[in-house]
Amino acid sequence: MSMEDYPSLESYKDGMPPKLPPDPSRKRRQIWYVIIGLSLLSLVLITVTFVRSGNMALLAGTGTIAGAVYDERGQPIVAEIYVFGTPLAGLSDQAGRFMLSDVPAGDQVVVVGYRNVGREQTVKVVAGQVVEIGDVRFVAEDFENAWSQMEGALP
Amino acid sequence: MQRSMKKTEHGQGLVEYALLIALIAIVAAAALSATGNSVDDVFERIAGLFQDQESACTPVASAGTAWDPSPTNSFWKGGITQQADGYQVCPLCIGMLPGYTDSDYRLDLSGVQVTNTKTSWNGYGVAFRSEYGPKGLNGYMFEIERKNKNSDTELYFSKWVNGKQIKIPGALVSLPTGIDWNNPPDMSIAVEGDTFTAYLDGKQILQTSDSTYASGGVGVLANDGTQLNFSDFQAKPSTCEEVP
Repeated sequence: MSMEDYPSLESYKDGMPPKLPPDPSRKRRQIWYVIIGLSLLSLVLITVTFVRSGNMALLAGTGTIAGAVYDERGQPIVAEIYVFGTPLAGLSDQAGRFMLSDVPAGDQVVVVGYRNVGREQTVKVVAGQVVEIGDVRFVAEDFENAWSQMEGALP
Repeated sequence: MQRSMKKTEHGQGLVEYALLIALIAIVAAAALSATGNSVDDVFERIAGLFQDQESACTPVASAGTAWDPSPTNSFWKGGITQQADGYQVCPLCIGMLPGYTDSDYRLDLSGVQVTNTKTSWNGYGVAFRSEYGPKGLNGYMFEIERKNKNSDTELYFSKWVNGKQIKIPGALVSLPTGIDWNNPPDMSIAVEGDTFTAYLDGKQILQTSDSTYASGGVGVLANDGTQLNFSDFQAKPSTCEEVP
């Protein structure tokens, strides 16, 4: 800074210049920064809540899960099929085949149940596609538990 | 003119403050919604630190207080029946404590007497985070089970979906030496978050984790070859620690 740019003594002949009042626009700017920051934060939190609620699946679309259920001799079984956490349920047919449609896209837990025994499998459902989970096979050993001893009297 | 401008600026300031307060409220609500359960857990843990062990272990439900003899509260083949010196669960039965449901708790099944009515499928256990739906039980069980006199005694956690039992991988331990059926151990199960820990006579015996069910009721069960009598079944806060 050159000497010419410094204030002259003339400027202080009546003492120190009065303190300037705070700039009101600066305070308002700060408030707006906070408002913008909070808006962004609430947007992030609302997005997190939405994603965690499982409603993302509604946007992602639906797919179909297919498979077959057999016993240890390879005979088809009429088994119950559930998609955990949804009302979706069905039965395998006389050939042991099943197909569940309108399954929300994303990771889904499929439960295949026969008598009182269940098998679960996590399946990645892709919108608009049929996902084949393969054969589910129940063997005699699966039913060796206390709750299988009385058919029809299961919890 | 200048006065009017000042008033307008003042009004604008109020709008900004109102906006600020509304946004703080939205952020607080969204944050609670996004992390609500975790916050709840943190509060419970902090509250637990200030509790002495005695009050931390005060039962929140027990067979003594929650048992209701009306048939509508007895599930499947009779459930729990009251006896002169405690309670009884018939073979292949489950009795739920009516009116109690929660996420985290410690279950104590004490004063157990086992009457093996058959030589096979002996055992007993507890149900937790369980509810009966139209298609059967949904929830978890911990069981002590012996297939027959020549087989090992197995202790395991299992999961039930619509009345179908699903094995939880790694949630089984075999006891080749078995247990003393004439003097069976007290059973205690700590249910906290995704982690379930089983204790027999105060000693940790098995631990597993599963996140399928977050909350539900509790009950006592007996296997097909066993009639179970017990003096009490209690649910205590999860902050209650096991004393070996």
